Parts: sequence; C-alpha cells; structure tokens
Amino acid sequence: MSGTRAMAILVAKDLRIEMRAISLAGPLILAIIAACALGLALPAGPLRHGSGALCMAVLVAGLLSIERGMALERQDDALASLLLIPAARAVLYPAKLAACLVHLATISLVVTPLCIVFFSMDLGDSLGRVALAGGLGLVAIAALGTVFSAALAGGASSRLLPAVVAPLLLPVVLLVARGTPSPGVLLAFDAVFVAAGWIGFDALMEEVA
Amino acid sequence: MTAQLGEFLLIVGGAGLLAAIAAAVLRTLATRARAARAGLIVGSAALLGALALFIAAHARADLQLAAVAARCDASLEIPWRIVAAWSGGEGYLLLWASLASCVASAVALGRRRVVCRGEPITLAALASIPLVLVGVMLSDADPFRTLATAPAEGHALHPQLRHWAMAVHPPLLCLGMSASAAPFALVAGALWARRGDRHWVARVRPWVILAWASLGAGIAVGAFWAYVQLGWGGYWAWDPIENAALVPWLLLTALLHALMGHERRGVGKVWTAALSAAALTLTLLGAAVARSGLVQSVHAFAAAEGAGVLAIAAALVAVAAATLIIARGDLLAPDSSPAPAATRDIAITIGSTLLVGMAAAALLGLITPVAVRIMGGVGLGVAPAFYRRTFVPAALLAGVLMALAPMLPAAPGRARWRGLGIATSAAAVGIALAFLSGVRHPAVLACAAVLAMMASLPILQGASEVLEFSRASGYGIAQAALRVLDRTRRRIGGQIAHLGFACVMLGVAGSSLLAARATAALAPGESLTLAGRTLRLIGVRESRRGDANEVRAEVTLDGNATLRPAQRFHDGYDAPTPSVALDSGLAADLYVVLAGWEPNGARATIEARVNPLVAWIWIGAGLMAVGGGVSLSPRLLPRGTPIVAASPRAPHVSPMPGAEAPIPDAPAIHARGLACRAGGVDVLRDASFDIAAGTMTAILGCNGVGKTTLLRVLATLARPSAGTLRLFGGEPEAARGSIGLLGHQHMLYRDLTALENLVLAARLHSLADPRSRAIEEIARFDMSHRADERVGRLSRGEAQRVALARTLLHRPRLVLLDEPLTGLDTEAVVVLCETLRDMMRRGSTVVLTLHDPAAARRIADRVLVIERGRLADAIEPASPRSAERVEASP
Amino acid sequence: MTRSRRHVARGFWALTLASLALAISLAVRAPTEVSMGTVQKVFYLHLPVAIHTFVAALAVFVAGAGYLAMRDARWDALGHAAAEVTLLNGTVLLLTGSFWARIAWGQWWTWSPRLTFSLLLWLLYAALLVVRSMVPSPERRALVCAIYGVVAFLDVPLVYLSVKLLPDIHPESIQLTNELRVVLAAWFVPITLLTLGLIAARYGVLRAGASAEADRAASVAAAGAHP
Repeated sequence: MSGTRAMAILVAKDLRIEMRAISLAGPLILAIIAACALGLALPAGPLRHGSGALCMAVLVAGLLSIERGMALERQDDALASLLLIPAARAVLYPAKLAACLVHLATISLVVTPLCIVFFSMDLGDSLGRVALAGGLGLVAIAALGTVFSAALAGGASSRLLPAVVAPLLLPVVLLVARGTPSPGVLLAFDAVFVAAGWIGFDALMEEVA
Repeated sequence: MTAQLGEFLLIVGGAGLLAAIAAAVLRTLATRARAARAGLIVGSAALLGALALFIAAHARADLQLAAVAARCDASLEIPWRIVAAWSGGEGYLLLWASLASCVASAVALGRRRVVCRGEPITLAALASIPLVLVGVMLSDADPFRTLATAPAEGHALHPQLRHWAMAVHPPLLCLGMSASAAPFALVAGALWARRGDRHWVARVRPWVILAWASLGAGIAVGAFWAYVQLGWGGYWAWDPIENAALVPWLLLTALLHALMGHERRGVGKVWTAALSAAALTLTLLGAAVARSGLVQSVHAFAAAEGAGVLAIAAALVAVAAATLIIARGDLLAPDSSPAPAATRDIAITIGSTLLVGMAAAALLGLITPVAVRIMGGVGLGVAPAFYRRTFVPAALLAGVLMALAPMLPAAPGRARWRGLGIATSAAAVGIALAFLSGVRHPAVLACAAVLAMMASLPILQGASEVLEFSRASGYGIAQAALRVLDRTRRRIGGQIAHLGFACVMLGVAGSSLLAARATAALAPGESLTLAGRTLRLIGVRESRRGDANEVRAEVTLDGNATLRPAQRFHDGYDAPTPSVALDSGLAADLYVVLAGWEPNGARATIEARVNPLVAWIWIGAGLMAVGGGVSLSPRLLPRGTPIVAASPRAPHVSPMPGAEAPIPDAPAIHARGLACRAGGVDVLRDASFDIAAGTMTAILGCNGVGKTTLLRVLATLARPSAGTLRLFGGEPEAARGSIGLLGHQHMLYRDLTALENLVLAARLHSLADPRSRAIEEIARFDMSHRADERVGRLSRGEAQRVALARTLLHRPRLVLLDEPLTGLDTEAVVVLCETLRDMMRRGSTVVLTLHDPAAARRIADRVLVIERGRLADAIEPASPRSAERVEASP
Repeated sequence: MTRSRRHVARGFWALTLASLALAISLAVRAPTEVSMGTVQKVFYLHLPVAIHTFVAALAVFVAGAGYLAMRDARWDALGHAAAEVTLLNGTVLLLTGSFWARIAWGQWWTWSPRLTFSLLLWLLYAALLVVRSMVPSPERRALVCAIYGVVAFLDVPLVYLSVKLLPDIHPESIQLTNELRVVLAAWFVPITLLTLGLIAARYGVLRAGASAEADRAASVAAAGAHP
C-alpha cells in the first residue's frame, strides 16, 4: 500500500475520532477567551497587539489540542496496534502532523476573524503574505507539538507540553507576529523541524525494555 | 638557482612523458604498461615540482625570473602574488601541463591490476598533450627565464585581477581542460586495439563529470569576477574567449547525456566517441584562439605564445578521431537488437542535439572573428543578437525538456506520465510566487515554473522511495533515507545539477529581460530613484589606500544602508579600476558604479543598475558543481545483500539488505541472552529459548514478573536491553507485518465503533475487501449485534472479543496474546481455541501468557515460566503434552 | 576518583583560579574606554560568557545526537551536565547584559535584539531542565531530552533571525584597541576553563551517581535470585 494511501486512512481516522469526541471544543473556547481577554486589556491601535494576541491564542490552544489528540491515541494503547503495521508505522508522523494541522487550521479560522475584529487589524494588501507566514507557523507548531506530545505522554508530564514547546516556538511567533518579509526563513525552519521531529518521533516509538 | 632547478624539472618532466609515449612501441604488453606508468609518474612529479617552484618564486617575489618581475612586486600581498603565478601565459601553461600529467597518471594508476591492450595507446595520447605544452614552454614561453639583472621593483599584478575569483578560475579551467582529454584517450586506446565499447564506456563517465564540473565552475567563477570587478554591470559578453571555454562545456554536457543512452540501450556509440573527440579538439582549439592574440577580449591577459602549436594539436586530434571512428566503425555499431526507445530516451536525445547546436552557435561566434582576421579583414565580431536568436530558444527548449524528463515514461509501452499532478501544482506555485514578487514577464515566469518543477519532483519521488524502502525493510526513516541516498548517488547528483541549471536559467532570464538602468549626475544631497529604490549622494572623497589613490562616493540606499562605489588609480597603471558597490539579494542586485566626478566634489555621476535574480545564477552554478561532486562521490555505506524475493513458504517476510537471508527452516522465535527492563528494573535476564513454528506456548508467572514486557519485546514494540532476537530467522523489524498482538489493554479506539476499528485494521493491512473481512471476523466472535456500538460503551468481555478479532484479522504468522482468557465466557474461549488451532495447522505460532497453570497445560504444547528474572520450561509431572525437562539456561 | 585524577582536577582548578585572578587584575588596570566609561569592563566578562553559552549549547546538541545514535547513558549524562552549564552561562549573560543596560542606558530591560535573544535562549534550556525533572522513566527521559537538545540547538539560528527584526534602539558596537583585545583574550581563558571544567565535573558526579544506582539495583536483584 502506498504511503499516501496509508496516510489518508490514518488522517481520516483521526478526523472521525475528532468529530465523535469533540476534543477541540475546549481549546477553541480557550482561544476565544484568550482573544477576548487580550482584546479587553490591550489597546487596539498597533497591528502588533492584534497579531501578537492572535499568535498566543492559537499557540496555546493549538498545543492543548495536540496534547489531547495524543492522549486519545494513548488511551487503551491504541497506538501500539498502529505500530505493528509497517504501512502505518512508516507514515505515522506525517499522518499525525496532518491531523494536528487540521486542528490548528480550525482554531485559526475561528480565532483570526475574532482578532481582526477586536483589534481592528488592517492587513491591507499583505494578506496573502501574512496568510502564508501564518500557515508556515502552524506547520512549525504542529511539527514540534506532535513529537513532544509523544515524548511527554503519560500522566502528569503531558500537561507540560505548552511549557516545553513554547520556548522553541517563540521565535516562530515573533517572526509571524511581526510580519516577516520573507517566508523563506520560516520554510527552512519548518523543514528542519519536520525532519528533526520525524526522526525523533521514530526514535520515541521504539521503547527500550 | 631556482631557475636552473625549474628548467631541470621541466626537462625531466618532458622526458618522462616522452618515455611514456615511447613505451607504446615496446614488445610485451606488460612491459609497455609498466614503462608507460613509470614514465608518467616521473613526468607528473617533475612537473608538479616545477609548478611548486614557480609558485614559490612568486610568493617570494624573486625578481630574477622574468615572469615574476612582470607581475609581482614586494609591495603586493602574498595571496595576489600566488594569483599572479598563473595570470601570465607561462604560468598558465605550466599549470595546465602539470594538471594534464596528473590526469594521465591518475588514469594510469586507476587500473593497475587490469592491463588492457589499448592501455598504452591511451596513456600515450594522454601524455602527448602535456608533452606538447612542455615543448612550447621550453622553446618559447619558458617560465623560468631569467633576467640579466634583477630589477629593483617588479610590475605589480593588474589591480582588476586582485580578486579571489582569479585564484580559482585558472586552476578550475585547467583541470577541466585536462580532464576532458581522458574520455577521448580512453576511446582511442580501445578503438586502436580493437576492443569493444564495454572497455571504455564505464571508465569514461567519471572523467566526463569531473571535466564538466570543473569547466562549469571555472566559467561561473569567471563570470562572477567579470560581474563584480569589471564594472559594466553584466557577467557575460559573448566574448570569443569566454566562448572558447563554453563550447567544450556544452559538448561535455551533451556527452554526459549521450552516455546515458549508450549505457542503457547500446545505441549512439558513434555519437559518444565523436563527442569525446570534439570536446578535446575544441578545448585545444579554444586555447589556441585565446593565446593567438587575434581577438580582442578582456581575457587578453593570457595572450601568449603557443597558439600555432595548439591549433595543430587540435587538428591532429580531430584527424585521429575521424580516422579511428571510420576505420573501426564496426566496433561502434549499435547493439544487435537494442531496446526500443522510450519517450524519455527520445527527450534526452533531443536535448543532446540542442546542446550540440548551442555549441555550434558558440563556435561560430568564436571562429568568425579569427577567420576574418586571418584572411586580412578588419576585426569583425558576432553581434549579441545572433546569440539571442540561436541560444535562447535552444536553451529554453532544453530547459523545458529537462523539466519534463522525470515525468516521462522510462520504459516503452508505459504511457502514463508519473507525477503530473505534482509537477503542475509545483509549476503553479512557482509562477504564483514569482507573480507575487512582482515579476510579470512570461519568459521569467516560465523559468520560475521550470525551477519549481525541478525542485519538487525529485524530492517527492525520493521521499516516496524512502518510505517504500522503510516499509519493506523495517528500517526507521533516518536509516532508510541514508541508505536510499547512498544507493542513488548518481541520480541525485544529476537531479541537483539539473536544479542548478534551472536556477541559472531563472537568473539569466531575470537579469537579461528585467534589468533596469539609470544614470544621473548628482550633487551632494540629491537622489536618484530606480525600481523603487532611492540612492542619495552624500559626498565624494579622495584618499590613499594601499598602493592606489582612491576617489570614493558615499551613497545611501533607501535611507539606511551605505554604499561606497569608488574608482582606484593604482601605481603603475593609468586606467582607473572601478570598485563596484553591490547590494545583493535573492530578488535583485543593485549595482552602483561611480562613473565620473568633478574635481572639487561638486557633482558625481552615479550609474545604477538593477539586475533582478542574478544571485540565482551563482546559486545554480554552485548547485551544478555540488551535483557533479555527488555523482563522483564514493559509496558511504558498505554494500548490503540485495533484497531476495520472498520464498513461497514465507509470504510476509522480506529481509533487509545487509541482513542475512532468512533460513527456511528456522524456528519462529529464536532468542539468545535476551534481557528486558521495565521501569528501570531488570525483569528478565539472559533468557535463551527457541519456539518452533506451528506450536502454542504458554508463559506463566506471577503478576508483575515481566510477562507483558517479554511479549512486547517479542512483538517488536520494545527493544530488549541485551541479547539477540530473531523472528522467522530474520531481523524482528522485518516480521512486523505478520505479528498479531493482544495486549493488556484492548488497543482499540474508544470513539470508533467495533466495526470501524476492524475495517481500519483491515485497510491498513491491505486486505482484499476490508469491509466484508471485518464483518466476517466480528461474526466469528459473535459480536455482530454490537458491531455498530462505540468501543467505549462495550463491556470488558465484549471489548476483549473485538480485540481478539482485530488481532487475528490478518491471520498473522505469530500470534501473541496477553491474558486472552480474561473476560471471555466459555463459548468465546471455544471459538478462540478453534481459530487458533486452525491457524496453527497452517503454520502460525502462538505464544500466550496465562496465570492459570492448569489452563496452560490443557491448551498449550509447551509451558515456560518466568521466575525471579529467569525463564525456564515448567517442571511438571509427565503428561502427553509436556516438553522434556530442559535445564534452565545459566 | 583515582588519585591521579584528583591531582589533575586540583591542578585544573588551580589553573582556572590563577587565570581568573590574572584576568581580573588586567581588567581592573586596563584603560577605560572612552565612549562608555567604567561599566564597559563588564564586556570582558559578557562576551566570553556569550560565546561559551553557545559552546555549551553545542555540547548539548552533540550529546543529544550521540544518545539518539548510540543509546548509551553516558551521552545522556553529558547532555545533562552541558545543559546545566548552558543555563548557568545564560544566567550570567542575562545578568551582565541587564546590568550594562541599566548603567549605560538607564533601563534594566529593553526588548532589543541581543537581550531578547539571550532571554529566549535561557528559556529554551530552562525548559530542558524542567522536562528533565518531569519524566520518571530514565530511558524515556534520556530520549526526550536528547530530542529536545537537538531541536533546541537547531532553533538557535531561528531565534537569531527572528530577533533581528526587533527595533535596535541602542547600537552596540565597541571599538577595541590592541590593548583591550589582550584583556579580552585574557578573559577567554578562565571562562573557557570554567565552562569545560564544570561540564566535566558535573558529568563525573552524574556518572558516579548512575553507577552507584546500578550497583544497588544489581545487588538487590542478586539478593532476590538467591533467597
């Protein structure tokens, strides 16, 4: 079976579970609350406030949703059944990455209009560029979030995911929030994060007993 | 003293080369080969020694030597003194002769063990070129000629040559020219001795790549130098001498592609032989023209003696090649029944033809002024418009073919184009990105599309290959990627080189079609705007820097950065040397030159150009060199055994390359010295056991003793901390697809229904008709009435039954069950045992853990016990089912 | 520790102290730089510490990559020691930087590129140590920290590029005469020795602790095998 087909099956499975368990509700609400709270606290003027608030809301909510997604996978050791199937094991990381991206995109699609409204953000003609930068930022969050949520799985330490991954992602937030002129840097780092994440994920899936 | 030693070495070098040539007439083959090799080694060593002496003389600024005095001075810094060594005619000849003899020695030493009849001819041909050069040096252009009295100061190197690019440009070109002799020499030797093409075709390729990469890098470095040093804002002027290097390079590229057809299908042999000869001929001819002084060029620095000799040598090579090809034509006939041409082969042939066409156009540009001058006419050049009309369409067409080639079917009959979707979307993305960056010209957009396609297709094809390999062999992604990269180095090198060419195309298109220019005479404080960027003149200053009087203008760019274009008047040179201020970026280069100024600093003429996408040319050239290097690189990882086809008895196992092939009658599980840890504590130490196929083994032990851990190790979910484990005689990872595990937890997704869980597993296992298989399996375990219930809502026993169904769904060869009987009622236990017996009859092996010894003895063929970290067969009263007493392993 | 090792360790620390004393005296006696005044002398400490924060971060990267390749607990101990020293260096870097900002420009903190860069780096390695303490199983902990160490180091250029965008209110270029260069070079020696020495010392302590653990576990298991 080809890698793309296996990936499609796994992503479809993740989305189906998501629709049943609706684990995205919590993070979404958290993101909305964060956007509202920051909108109340910060003056609307500078574009930075709006983009910064948006990035923070998406980051925190996104990481939370990734953590929940991994928790669902770890429940009843369902992940182990996937690890036994070579076709699934080879594409496990990209499939999880794609599913996380869908979650992140959903959160972004909900929160972005809110922030644009709350902070009276005027993006003008750089909308395409900003959207591209935002998309690349989401890929970075998903790449690191997936591998570290797998690393920290189990009990108390999984709650730590945002604390652990946030320092690594702060520069991405900086670049996106300040409106980086060239997406090339973000693209390069996405490549590095995905590559490192994939290798790390594969390493993590092998326990040493 | 230096001079005498240098001359001596030159003579010795020449003698060695002569001996190598003369060896061709000796009696026995072995003597011929040995003598030739000896002569070559002596000759190369001597010439290298002479070169070293020459460079050292420059570094010391030994003004006794005429060559040094002409270009070197004590006031010149050491790096530039070394550059001066090969900026003159004599030094260049010496460099070329040394490199050519090194190439000859490398060819000689490369096949020390195999002696081929044509070898001496090859070596003689290779040795004759440096011999000719030594002859020229000893007669006309002696690098070690001394002056009667050493002058007090020398004449310093021309200021425009004082750039790092000039340190590498001549050596690269010389290397390329030397290496381009090897292919023809190999062909000639084999043809002369009546040997078939298999004696030379594989040996030729590395030399072609080396020559191609060096020449290409040399040309690119030269263009870069022209761009940053000469101050006219361009990098290529279709200068006849530039063409002299370009023509062989194009021919070598055509040769590389022709070799592909030759090797794969055995056609086009005459083509490859002719191209090899043509590359060498035109190298020599180009050098002859460059040194003849018949053409006006910025490269006239290297004009010197030897033109006539080189031209004669070129003619000789051409004549020899033609004679050999015609006389031995039968050896070059295509294979008796060549494989039919696939679309890709046709595309490659068209591409090679286009390349040769471009070479012919460049050659025309090279020959025309020379021919006109020889016949007494006034200097006539070929206008750039000629090249635009011939080169550009050919290059564009070649570029499009190059982009399409990966998609074309590689074997005849397969009509589908692979990767068309990816290619079109990549092209669309490329065009969109270029459009968003402000590019509107269709040709540049087309180049952007080509670049995007060249960048994406190979990566995606490579990624799918790595995934495929990782799945088949069980290696993790990183290991699989390393191995695939190592195995396909040639292809990857070619892809990188093609990507580089696409970058160069983009750069050339952008800088030629979208360039903008503005010139203005500004007073301090006034500004000049070009393509959205503002240059404001601050002032003009005169100062002394090093050995030059410098007039420098300070110009601010867009209000923040400062550029300082200048003109320098070096001591001893009348014409000023421009110092260009360059603001480079990926999108465009801003090129600022101080064109003129008034003496009191009142006004300055600033000439500004915007050259879009120029940086891509240098990036592309670098990539082409890297691609060549990758193609030439040796194998990193040790060669593994090829993947053997799966035997009929072992349908699921495909062994990894490098691992031993599975032994057909190996036990299902073979463990030696196995040690497992759980939670940081050793639960099992030094366990050794074999479990035969088709049996059921039960493992007993108290809670927490390590049964589950052992089962997970056997299921390859966890790695043992020590010892070896073999499943079905091969590596555990390779057997993953044929294992079924029932763990402590049911390993199902709570939020999916039972049926959905099973369908998911069936689809991932690539079972035929997954849905009906799943329904069938659920029915077997009597869960059909609850099939559409979410697993989270099932009771423990029901979930266990669904889990069992999932475990056995794909009829695994190794079934591992952890406490399978928990929660099952007697009916379900009966069904389970029946199914397991059925599978065991077909060869499956079952290992299960139980806590009830009685049940274990009832259903299992063999019982093992884990106690205090040791695994041993259970000691029990004799029964028909028990295994013999086996001593616990130490 | 064996006796010869102890001698080497003592000699090493003595050398470090001596070079530190020399460096301090040189700094005190060095002429004050014209534009910034006495506080400029903090720079002699600041720059070597900055370089060595990177060196230690590089050591974490190498240790992480080594662990991922070879799964040997010694790489994990090296990573742990190097991470702690990175954090130490980072703290000193932040403090000296902040101190300098206060004296030179009147604010304890400003979101200028360099300071923000140092802060983000500090956060990265602080998070690494937090992760370290949170994962119970030793093999898993080593694996997670190895991955984090590798990703964190690869993140450093991104951090650098991202902070370049921040507005740099205060230009921070210092012209050094040859004399001052000598003082700076003199400061590099003790800081280098300190960094490497601390990593080595912590590594030794961690390995000693780990081998004691292993001995204890082995004796317990042995006791269990022969009741």
